[in-house]
Amino acid sequence: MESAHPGIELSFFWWAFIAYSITCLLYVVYFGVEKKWLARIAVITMAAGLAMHSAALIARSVHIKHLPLTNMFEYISLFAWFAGCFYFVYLKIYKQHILGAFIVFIVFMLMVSGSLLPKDATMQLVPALQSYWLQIHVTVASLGEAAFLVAFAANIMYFLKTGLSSGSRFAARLPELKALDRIAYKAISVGYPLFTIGALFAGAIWAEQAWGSFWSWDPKEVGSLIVWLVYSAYLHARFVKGWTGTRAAILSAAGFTCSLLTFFANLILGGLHSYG
Amino acid sequence: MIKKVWNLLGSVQLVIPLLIVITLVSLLGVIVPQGPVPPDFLHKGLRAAIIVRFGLNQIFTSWWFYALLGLLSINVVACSISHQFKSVGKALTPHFHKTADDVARLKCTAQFTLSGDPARLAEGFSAFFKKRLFFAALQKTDSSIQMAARSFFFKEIGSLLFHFSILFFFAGGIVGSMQGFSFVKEFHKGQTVAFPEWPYILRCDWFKLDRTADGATSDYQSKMTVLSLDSAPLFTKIIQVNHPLSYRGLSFFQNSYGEQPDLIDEAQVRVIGPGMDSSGAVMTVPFDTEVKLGGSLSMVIRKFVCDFVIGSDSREVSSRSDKPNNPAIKAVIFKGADTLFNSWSFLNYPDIHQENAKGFKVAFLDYTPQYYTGIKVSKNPGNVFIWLGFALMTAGILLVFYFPHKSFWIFIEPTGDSSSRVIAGGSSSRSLSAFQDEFKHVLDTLQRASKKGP
Repeated sequence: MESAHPGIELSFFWWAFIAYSITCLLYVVYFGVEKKWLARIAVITMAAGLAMHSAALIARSVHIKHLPLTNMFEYISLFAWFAGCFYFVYLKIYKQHILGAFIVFIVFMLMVSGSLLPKDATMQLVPALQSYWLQIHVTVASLGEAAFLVAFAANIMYFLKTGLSSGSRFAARLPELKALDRIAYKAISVGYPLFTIGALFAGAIWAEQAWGSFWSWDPKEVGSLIVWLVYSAYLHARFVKGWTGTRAAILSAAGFTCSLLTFFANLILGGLHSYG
Repeated sequence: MIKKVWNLLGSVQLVIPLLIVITLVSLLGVIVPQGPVPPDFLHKGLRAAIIVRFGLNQIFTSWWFYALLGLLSINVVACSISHQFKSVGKALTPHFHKTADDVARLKCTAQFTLSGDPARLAEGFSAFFKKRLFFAALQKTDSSIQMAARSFFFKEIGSLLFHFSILFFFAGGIVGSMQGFSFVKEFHKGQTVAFPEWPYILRCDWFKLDRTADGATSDYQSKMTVLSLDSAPLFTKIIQVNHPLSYRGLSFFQNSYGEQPDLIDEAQVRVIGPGMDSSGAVMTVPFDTEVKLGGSLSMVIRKFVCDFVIGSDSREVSSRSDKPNNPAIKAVIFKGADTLFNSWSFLNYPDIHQENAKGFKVAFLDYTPQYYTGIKVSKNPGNVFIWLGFALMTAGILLVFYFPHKSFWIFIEPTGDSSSRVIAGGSSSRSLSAFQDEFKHVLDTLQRASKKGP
């Protein structure tokens, strides 16, 4: 496999990593002292981090002459970047720094995971990956999962708000339970169509074209199906049985946990997706 | 009894447990390696015994897993018929509020006065909404007229499409497994193969392997030609991974490749013999093709084995494996009808097993392997259902999530001075802030249209 040691793009990645970690620190202090200016600086450092992250993705694309979507490091980097974009989208819609802060924490955890993975850039794609379906399948699926990440951030806030005592100052600063439930649902209603079309359909169509079979019960395929089934159960429980609140939050958080397990599953189980 | 079964199958309570069971079983299928177990597997303790006894190594092809999926499909369709059709029916039946106060208590409301009598205004409002694909109806009382308008039932149709698409996926899987097949056929260059119930012949013209400078495979491709039964070429395509060939019901996918264990394209040899230079002549000899050595001498490479072994009893040469562990060629040198040299030469052991018959020696230096190309032959009449499933589910999801339900109610009451008081309210499955903007826009447009008159 022709590979090259990463160049400047890795420097950009580390700059983004530092900027995201500073943003996290600022938000931690903001939780304690409630100074608005701290949150404003956090937005600026987050913007700087996202700009660096964008530069890292562009530089890597230029370096390897294709979009960086072919191994676990590249996927997690793209996933974190989409989630970073959602941070600004949700900040604009809900104007809630606290929601943004939880998204940034998860983005930072993704960056930490990414930083531990091998970062060698693959110049030569294996024949199976030489298809435009690679771009469609991976980008749309990771965009969908980034939306699930936002829902997960709202779920964690929901659990904190219900778990902390009513007199807790931190709990009081979290959005209302109804609003958190609504944010999670809205994020899932963005993520679910993207995940269905990007991860399952585009993946299946590509598999049919490459291997002559829509579905092979490969560990990652089954993992994605499980994620889809859990979010389908969430939506059905919500639409038909009127599930909201804690029960809905548990299902939604289970969905995101499954998607993380699916992502890391091929480290142990291999299969057709062993490259990423 | 039938009603009880139908109620159970159409019960929403069944969907969630079924989804959970299928999820857990799928998870088990991911954790337990799927496929045939090795012969000594059963000796590996209780865990292995459980896996084999319950067929946990073949979950995704087991009858009970298909039964679970089938039950889910039936359940989903029965639920759709019971609930979704009801929703559509409900959507077609206009829903009116009892009083104007009920409308004024909705989250989106507006009140204004317009000139004109209530009946004329109500007709105008109704026409306005119908033009925008709403279902609109009027209800008259002694003191007022109420107009109820509901957006087209995209959401309900989307939900129906979504649920029915699952049935298509299941049908695709069943038809594919009952009437389809797939297997991998290894072709070598020039080989022709006929397949049952396919009135054509497939020929492999060539196979090409591209490698990068560091030896990694960058691409591999096969030129395949479809021939008629009387060998006339009908269609040719170079197939690669992601670029299959489909012809009249069969599809051919580039699946794999490998070195032929008993064929090569050519071998590089050094021949030493009487009348030749002492260092010998290095030459490239095509497999099974006679080449001139000079004068009236000729040479041919008759056989190749990639992993030389000789039977202890039969003394016959064969290949121990498909791996090139001990490549050997059998070279023959002859002059007219006289065989002067006929022996095996080894790539890894150039100095052994050489019969210096009549002073000849052949050293095996290198070879160009001949590759076979692994072509997956597939027929799947269920694919059409799968494609329909994709289309229906995509349309269903888009309709459910991006065509929200919207309802408007407008009470029109006479004020007594040739004008009317209008109390409007609305609700939607959209977010409140987004719907508030839309509500305001619709009401503004409605007012402007009413002022202009019919």
